[in-house]
Amino acid sequence: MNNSTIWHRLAAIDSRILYLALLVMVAVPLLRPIGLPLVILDEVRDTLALIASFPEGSVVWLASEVAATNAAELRPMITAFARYLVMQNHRIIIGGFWTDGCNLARIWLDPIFEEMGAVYGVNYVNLGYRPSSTSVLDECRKDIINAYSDRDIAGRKLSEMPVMAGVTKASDIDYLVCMSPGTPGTSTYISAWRATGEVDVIIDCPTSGMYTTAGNNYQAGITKGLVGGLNGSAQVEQLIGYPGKAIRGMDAQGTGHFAILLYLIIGNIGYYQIRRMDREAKEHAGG
Amino acid sequence: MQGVNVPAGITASLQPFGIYLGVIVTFGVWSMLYRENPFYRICEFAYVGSASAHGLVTTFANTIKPGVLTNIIQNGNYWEIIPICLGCLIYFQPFRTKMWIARYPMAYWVGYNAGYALTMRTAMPLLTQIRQTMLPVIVRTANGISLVDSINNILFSLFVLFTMSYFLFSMNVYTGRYSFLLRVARVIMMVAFGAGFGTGVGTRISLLIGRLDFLFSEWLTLY
Repeated sequence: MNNSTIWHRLAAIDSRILYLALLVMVAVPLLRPIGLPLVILDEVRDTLALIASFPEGSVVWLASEVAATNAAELRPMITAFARYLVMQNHRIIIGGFWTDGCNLARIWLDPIFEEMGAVYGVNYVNLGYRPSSTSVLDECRKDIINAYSDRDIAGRKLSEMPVMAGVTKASDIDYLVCMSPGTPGTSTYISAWRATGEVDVIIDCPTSGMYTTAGNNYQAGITKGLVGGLNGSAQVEQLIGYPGKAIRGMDAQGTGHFAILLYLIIGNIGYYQIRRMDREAKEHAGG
Repeated sequence: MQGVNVPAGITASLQPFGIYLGVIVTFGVWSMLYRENPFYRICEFAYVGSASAHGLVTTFANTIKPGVLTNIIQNGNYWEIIPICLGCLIYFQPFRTKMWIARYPMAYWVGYNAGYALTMRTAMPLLTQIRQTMLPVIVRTANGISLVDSINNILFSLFVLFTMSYFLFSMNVYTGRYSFLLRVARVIMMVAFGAGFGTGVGTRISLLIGRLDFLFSEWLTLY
């Protein structure tokens, strides 16, 4: 058997070299953006239009289901949405059932709210983390204040905040924007509030990995808006006119995918070539 | 987090330390790509330990403390002592002879969730999706029949039927006349899995972008 063909040499490449090549492919466009075009999807445009259709002062639950592990995709997403919600002058209630979710929202969003002139307790509130999403959301159907022991993330009284005026139960929430890296996530809110008719409008913001599942819910009309992954975040940033980390990352996303595609194509061709050569060599030896 | 408010001066002075720690841990985790090593293990164990501790402290500060102070002491909801006691029983788990006591809160929890799952809450998304598969095969618009939408709906309906037939375990569609269903269904599912894999790759690349962005912008301040 001839092991010196190009396909055998490619198959013998150390995987660490492939990792390094991928790293370079992703790192270079981050440092020197190449300006790959960004296509704005109809679903993203429709989602922003849906939010804009709610009148000023509408109450939105911003589900900060984020963690360090999905921050790369969901940080640009939640910051872009936070900006847009403040621009619409909607009242924002931040909640979350991932341990880090509300703390990260405080770190990421408070400077943005401050920059945009939103006042804590008047325009937005952060409820803080609560374990057991199922029971907390169920209790929120009857009494949000009690479900959160009348305390926000820093121990201030929720019942005394203007942002909570008239918001006593889940059905007082006009719509929900949910960062969704998995469970707890959009499916949790669908079961707790959408299926029970408390909140009809759910905007799903999944990570790329959850995008196909989220697409099913969106196409079936269970969720009313869909913005997915870093790509979706970049589109929102573009549409609201605040280019940020997502747009910067899209070139790297493109070249990274190109590298993976290249690996897949060459790898598959190589696999079939080597298999064919091995078979031919075996037949030759046998014959 | 409630009760853990660090003064702004201290957080500002700790920021460079946080960035350097982040850089060290990032390289520590990436070192696994080269080979298994103690540096990676330290980072991994430190992450698991700190994440567990963070979860415990956050849960106590955000839930248990205000729950006891506000709901029980201030509002006089003394019945809430019962679920707290029930929850505490879970800590009998490590004691072999008393482990059976820990089963009571688990039984309650399993029962609650099983009951919850059997309501309309979980059925609604499923039923809605089933309903949405019943699409018109001839789509009429104001300008007549939309050929593209009609073909799309027909293909969609066929793909659903083919894929569902793959999971008819009580009928033998795996051999004989109807085995083509299996092959078509397999191809359709492979396309769906491929789409899932593609978006999964997107997530992984995004993670890499996130870390590189941290290194370039916050550590090296290149942009």
